[in-house]
Amino acid sequence: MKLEVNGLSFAYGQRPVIDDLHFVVRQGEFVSLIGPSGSGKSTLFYMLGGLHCPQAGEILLDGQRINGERGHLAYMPQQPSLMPWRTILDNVRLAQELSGHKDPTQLTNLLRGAGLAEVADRYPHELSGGMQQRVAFIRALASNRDLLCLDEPFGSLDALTRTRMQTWLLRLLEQEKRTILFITHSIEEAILLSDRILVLSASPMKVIREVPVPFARGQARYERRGTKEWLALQRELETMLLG
Amino acid sequence: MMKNSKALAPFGMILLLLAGWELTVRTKQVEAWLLPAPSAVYEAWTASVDRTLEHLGATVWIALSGLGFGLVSGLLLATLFHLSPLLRAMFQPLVVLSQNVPMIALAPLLIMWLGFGTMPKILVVAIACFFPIAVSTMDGFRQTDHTLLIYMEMAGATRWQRFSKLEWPSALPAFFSGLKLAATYSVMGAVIAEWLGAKEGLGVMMQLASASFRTDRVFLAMFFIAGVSLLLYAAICLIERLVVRWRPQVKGGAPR
Repeated sequence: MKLEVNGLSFAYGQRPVIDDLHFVVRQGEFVSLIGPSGSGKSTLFYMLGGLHCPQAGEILLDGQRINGERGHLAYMPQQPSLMPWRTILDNVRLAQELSGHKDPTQLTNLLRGAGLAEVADRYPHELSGGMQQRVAFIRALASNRDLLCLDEPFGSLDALTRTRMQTWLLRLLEQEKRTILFITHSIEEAILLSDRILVLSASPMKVIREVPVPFARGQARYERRGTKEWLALQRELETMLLG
Repeated sequence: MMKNSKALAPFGMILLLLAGWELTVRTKQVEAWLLPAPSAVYEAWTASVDRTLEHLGATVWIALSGLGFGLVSGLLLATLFHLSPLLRAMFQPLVVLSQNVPMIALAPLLIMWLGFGTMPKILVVAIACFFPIAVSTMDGFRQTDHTLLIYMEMAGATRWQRFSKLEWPSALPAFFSGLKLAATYSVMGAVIAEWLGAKEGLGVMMQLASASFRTDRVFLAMFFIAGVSLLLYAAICLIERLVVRWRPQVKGGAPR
């Protein structure tokens, strides 16, 4: 799996949102997109997902041009996006129904691995916001797409739940090797989770800098928070975003 | 305890009203042709059980089949209009127009065209019923959650998957609101259609009774009309509760 974005441009009417955007995501990488709000990150996801067609440039998945094509990636938005009339199990199954491969054992394994087996028969409104987002993430995994696009998945959670979700995600990703493109507003979250961070500018959106995260990936990284290198990196990213 | 008293409240209220009515008629000695006491209405019922049941059966049949036709055509229309904006633009004015023609004018026309059988009456009921079902179901389709729509599109859902897996289930509560309205219209529509030309039915019974000042039988027919409407409404509420089970149960007196 390799995602290449080459010279992508997009405008809403006269207002350019994205201008000549380039980046690459390789197999197994966790890449964060960080930038000011309203900089067009969600628009970028809609383009990758085929909802919008870019006005210039191309999106290549494994060398294949997928401009305007839908169904190539798994997607998870910030807002709760579970169907209230489906149980947790049926919500996760939806991903398989849409992608057309049925695998009940994968479903039970995923739910068990995520610690959601006990709530499989509950309805979404019976679960907390954090639990609902876990289900939404599991659903993204169940669609069996190589590329997962997560649009601020923890953005609407309180700080404590957010921290729990981050460690949960780190642990889960050690078992499930996936390629992830991750939108976030939190510098700390980006450092904690990603291999590389793309720092973006607003209107029009461009990649200002590409910053590799120098800490070993996984749960161990959580312990590195607050160290000198960590804080230096955090300040560096902050300066870039403010400048 | 609280729950029981709340469930019994409507029955208690009705009993209270009936008792007050009976008492007023008796103490003020109101003429029976003006306002019969509930006991007199009950006597009218015991005196003509078989005949009344025949009338009732005829009306229920027309109301239910009309509601059935209205349900199918209303759903079909809502679906077609939702899936094809062109169809909606073409036919929506006509559909609204169908509701502007008064039933009083329409029913005799249909009877002239289709004869005195049950068909024109079923049609009258269906015309009254399809509209609330179509309108509220279409509204339901349109109010589908935006985030879920985006999710479905990003996941590569086909138009049909989007409709069957997302838009239709999320329109269900709105559909049931329309169906409840239609159910109450259906009984009323059946009675009006019968009033305008039929051999049997509660509408005919009322017409004959009021022409001969048998006010007790008019009231008897009215009680049955109200009873059938209530039963239909309750049945639909029950079905709704079985089908739309995912909604969080609101506790206390807050509206659902």
